[in-house]
Amino acid sequence: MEYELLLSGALLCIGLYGVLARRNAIIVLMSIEIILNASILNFVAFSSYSGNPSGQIFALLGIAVAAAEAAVGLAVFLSIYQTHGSIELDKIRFLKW
Amino acid sequence: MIENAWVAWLILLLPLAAFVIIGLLGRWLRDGSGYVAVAGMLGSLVLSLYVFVQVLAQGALGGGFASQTIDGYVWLPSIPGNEIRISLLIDNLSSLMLVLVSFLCLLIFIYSLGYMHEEEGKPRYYAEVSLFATGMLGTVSADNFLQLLIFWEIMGLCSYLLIGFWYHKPEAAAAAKKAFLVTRVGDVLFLVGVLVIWNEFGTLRFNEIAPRVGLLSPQLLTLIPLLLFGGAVGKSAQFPLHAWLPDAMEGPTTVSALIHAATMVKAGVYLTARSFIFLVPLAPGVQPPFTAILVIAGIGGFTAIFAATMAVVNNDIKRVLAFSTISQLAYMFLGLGAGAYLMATEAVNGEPVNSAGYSAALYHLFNHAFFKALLFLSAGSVIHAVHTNDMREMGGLSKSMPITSRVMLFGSLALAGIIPFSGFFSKGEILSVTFDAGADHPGFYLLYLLGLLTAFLTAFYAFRLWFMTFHGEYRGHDHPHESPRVMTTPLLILAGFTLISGLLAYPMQGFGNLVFFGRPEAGFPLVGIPPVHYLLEALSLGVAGLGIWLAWSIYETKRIPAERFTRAPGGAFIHRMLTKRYWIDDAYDAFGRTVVYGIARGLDWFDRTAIDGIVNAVGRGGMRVAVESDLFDRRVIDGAVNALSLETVRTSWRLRQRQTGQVQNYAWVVVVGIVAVVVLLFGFSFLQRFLGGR
Repeated sequence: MEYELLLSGALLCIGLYGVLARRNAIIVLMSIEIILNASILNFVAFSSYSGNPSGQIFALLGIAVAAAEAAVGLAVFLSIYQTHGSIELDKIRFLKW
Repeated sequence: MIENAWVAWLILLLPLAAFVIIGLLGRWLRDGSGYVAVAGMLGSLVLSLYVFVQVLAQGALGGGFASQTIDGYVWLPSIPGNEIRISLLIDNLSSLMLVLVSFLCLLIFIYSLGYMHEEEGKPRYYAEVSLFATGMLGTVSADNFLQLLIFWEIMGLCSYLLIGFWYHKPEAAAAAKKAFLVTRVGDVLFLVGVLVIWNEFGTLRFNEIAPRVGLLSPQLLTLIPLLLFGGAVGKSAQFPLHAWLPDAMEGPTTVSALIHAATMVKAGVYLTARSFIFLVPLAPGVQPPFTAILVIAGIGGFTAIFAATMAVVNNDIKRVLAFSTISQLAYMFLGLGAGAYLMATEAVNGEPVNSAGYSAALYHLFNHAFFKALLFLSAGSVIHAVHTNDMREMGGLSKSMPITSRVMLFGSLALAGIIPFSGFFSKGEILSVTFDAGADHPGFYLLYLLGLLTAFLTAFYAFRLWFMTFHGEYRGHDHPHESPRVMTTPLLILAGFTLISGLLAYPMQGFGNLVFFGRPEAGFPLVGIPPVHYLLEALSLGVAGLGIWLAWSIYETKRIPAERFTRAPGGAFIHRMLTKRYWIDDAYDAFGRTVVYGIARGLDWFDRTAIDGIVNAVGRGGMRVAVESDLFDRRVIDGAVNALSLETVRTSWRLRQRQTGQVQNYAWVVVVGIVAVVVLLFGFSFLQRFLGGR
């Protein structure tokens, strides 16, 4: 049980680092996937630990959401790349005042 | 008592109604406005005759009628018996004047239908002359001095408006202003006189004042008639306020005939006649104001010759007549003065008083109104034909204008005083009375000589005018023709009256009968008078004949060349002095320029420095306060508001800086926030456990 949780926490930290520190949008998207997978690993771990199968169902749902999210995210980045010619996050500031 | 006395109000109200109707509807009436004015005047004449015939039947010819007051409404309420009413006084004098005025107004209005035919602004003309007629009728029928003054001023206003009828001509506008301002000097004296009378008697009605005149102090008894005479001097254009009348000829000729010959200028004589209640107080033991009487007679005698000399040299047909009017009015004042002196002396000596001078002056007023209106209207007819006022551009008009030339001859004969034309009777009587008064005060012999000399000059300038206009060769460039019937008919009627008005005294049993207040008495002209008077009448007739002969030989046969008088240095100087009107107009102008303008400049300086200084200081104080308040507003109030808004803007600016638009910054914030929340939660529960663990 502890190993799963430690792995999950490690994955979360790796994902956070990727989201916060990297500039490439693709890598940021991949890091978000890592964070999602960390939480899915948590669901699975707690499900097997407590014998409650609904955690596994949430894990499957989470994988589906992660796939959809990756598709939408990639489509947004593609569109940004087509209009701005770059997907470096520090160059993209549409939300700026 | 007069039956239906209330109709006397209509005599005044009909012309007033015509004025209102023409004034309001003139734009639609156009040419019809003249007929409205004539209709109003005709009504006045009929009603005046109705009243006059009754007064004549009961008073002058029947005896027993003194006067009747027709009370109107109370204008200024006061304690009973002391209020000022608008009411009419009907006595011999006022009823005669009503007929005279309305008759002349009617004739002149009818004449105007032709004379003013081609003028612009006819409704304005007819409205103003109708208002004028109201003023004159009101003046002669007022029963108190205040009402008289009001109507007197209405006349002054209309005179001003009508002299300036062609207001686009600068000379006409200036003449109107001059007439108004010069007569104003007299009117102020008149107003002061009215105030003094009110102060002394507490009433202004002639009939209430007359029995109480004896209560006045001698000084006031002299002052009051002189103040009233001051008004008369202004209105009747006597020296030294004569300067306006010749210039008033800038108005239409009908206005000159109506206002400046026949009616308004007579109001001064009428007022002086009314002030006989002060001049000759017929109360026992009262000393009459001989000084005031002498002033009136003296100004009359002097103005007569003064104006006549100026008429001799003038070449403007209307101005000659204007100077003649001044001179003839002066005769009336001379007659009034001499008559008053005689009456006053007789009253002091306890003899029965003789009203000869009074009636002679009013007789001359009556006659002069007809023949001077005739002369002016004939002059208007001539001007209508030749389009100029200058007699040097006339001449020989008797061929093309036979009617005008003949009626003007009638008028000139009456003016010169040739028997049996009307001027002869009244002028002769005035001179006789003046001669009689010489027995009481030698100064009147001098005035008689002046009067006689004036009679000579009058005949001379009257016929100079006639010969220059109607005889000899035509010197103008027009094609003169006789005036239309609507103009010649009034002329013929007036020409008839130059004969009749003098002779009217016989069927009326003496003119004094018609006008003298209180005690009618008979006295036929030329009948039952002392032998010396026949001599005097012959003398005045003789000098008049001499004047006509001189005019004839200078201007008709040219046996005596006119240049002979002007060639000698003395003659040239006199001629220049007369054409310059004794430099009196220039002197008035200079007086106005230097003294009045100087005072005005002084006042202007005072105004600019003292008054303006105070005003400016107050203004500057206000400015200072305003500046301070403005600064406070800007610095404190606006400062607070601006600081608030500026700080808001600045804060928002700073906050805006945090919106970098970089997703990762936001992510950082989220992560830091979560970490903080976690730390806090765990830290809190850890602390709780640590503290709650004991």
